[in-house]
Amino acid sequence: MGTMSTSTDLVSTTLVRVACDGERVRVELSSHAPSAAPQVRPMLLASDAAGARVALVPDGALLLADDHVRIVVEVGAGAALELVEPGGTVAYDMDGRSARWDVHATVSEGASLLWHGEPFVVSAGARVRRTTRVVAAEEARVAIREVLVLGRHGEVPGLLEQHTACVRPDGHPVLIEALEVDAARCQAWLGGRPVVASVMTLGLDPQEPASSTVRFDLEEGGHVYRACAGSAHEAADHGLWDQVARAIRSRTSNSMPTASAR
Amino acid sequence: MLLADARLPVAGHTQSGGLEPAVADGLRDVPGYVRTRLTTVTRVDAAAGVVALHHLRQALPLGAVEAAWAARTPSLAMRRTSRAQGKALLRLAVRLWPDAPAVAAVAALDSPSRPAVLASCAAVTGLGPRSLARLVGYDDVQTVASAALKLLPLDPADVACWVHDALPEVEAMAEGVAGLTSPDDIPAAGAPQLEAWAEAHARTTRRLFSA
Repeated sequence: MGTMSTSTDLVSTTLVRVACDGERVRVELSSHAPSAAPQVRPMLLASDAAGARVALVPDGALLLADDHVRIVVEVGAGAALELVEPGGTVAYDMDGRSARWDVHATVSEGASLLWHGEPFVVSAGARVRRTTRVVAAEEARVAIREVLVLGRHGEVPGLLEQHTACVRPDGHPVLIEALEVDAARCQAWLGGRPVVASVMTLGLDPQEPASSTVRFDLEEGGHVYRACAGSAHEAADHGLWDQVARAIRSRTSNSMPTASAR
Repeated sequence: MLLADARLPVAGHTQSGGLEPAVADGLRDVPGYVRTRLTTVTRVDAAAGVVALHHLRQALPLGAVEAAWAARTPSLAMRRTSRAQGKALLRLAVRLWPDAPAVAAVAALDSPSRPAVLASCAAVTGLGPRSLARLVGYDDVQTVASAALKLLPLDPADVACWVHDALPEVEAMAEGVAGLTSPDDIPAAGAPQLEAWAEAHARTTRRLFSA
């Protein structure tokens, strides 16, 4: 399925960069897109000496044929970033065309990234290629939640290609996963359950998820928690996310330069 | 031929190719299950074997191939099963070819995967990459098929027909991965439901097959 290319003139790029210089955190936010294209605007919700909390807010209708969203996230050494989304994203019928959604996150030594992704819905007729690439240092802490919904309620989904690559800075692979799902494969791949909720963590102790969520212990020490369910609210494991968020926040505050200097 | 024979003393009869937990969860479409495996987990294994074979033939280190396979096999239960099978096959390979450099290279790894051990056997016997991939695919289909006869009330002739009908898909899978040489090019086709079943099965004591 290498045919899913889109024209490059509609690329919208969102940048979220957080760096810590020991005294305070520097936050750089930007987004730009060609005039016709929608974009994802980063909005600062809060920041302190330790890090920042940023919302990714869609500006314009997302996600339509030929849209190409690129989100670049960089968390510098010792910094902490939390990303939230105000709502889910729906990929609409693309009438034979397609769209892309690419995320590239870099998390440096001693840094943390906590990203609570909202449902990404693949409607009938949508064709979407999503790539999530995370480059994480050995001492980085990462938790990313992704919820893929194949079709709106009672709807036969379009085509989704989800590629996830999590690697160390030297390229050593931690998790390489591709999920290519359409209506026919939804049954076989996912047992007919159209919602896949995943939480990927790196640098955190294993947590006990709800019984409907399966924990995968990766070779390199990270974890993937995954539930396949009939609906997004059934798939969501709020208890797990609370544990993960607490683990990241507590360790972040302990390791922050300002906190240890007190 | 020998490598694909269920009578080889490598405990192949203890494997159901993940079918047992699938059946326990209500799966009845075994041919569909076989097809799903051929395009996901079995394809990853076959590709890892093909790339390992290339590395053995070129005397390149295997560490990157094993790391690529492990990163594409998120289920610890599946990695453990593969390594247990690899260990059994390696014991046999060391007896058969005690002086073969390819076998020694894989034996030097810390708990090699089954694809890596199969690749060493292929390197010694002169089996090409496409034949190796076909062997991985065929073996998987037969493993599931013979387990199906023990788990479900089936006519053995029907099951033989399923295997026969799956052969073009085995061939297509083998052709698709036969040319791979780089660990980065190993496909990463995940199958969340298969992986979840594998994890559930590893935790239960009520089972006929080990995996």
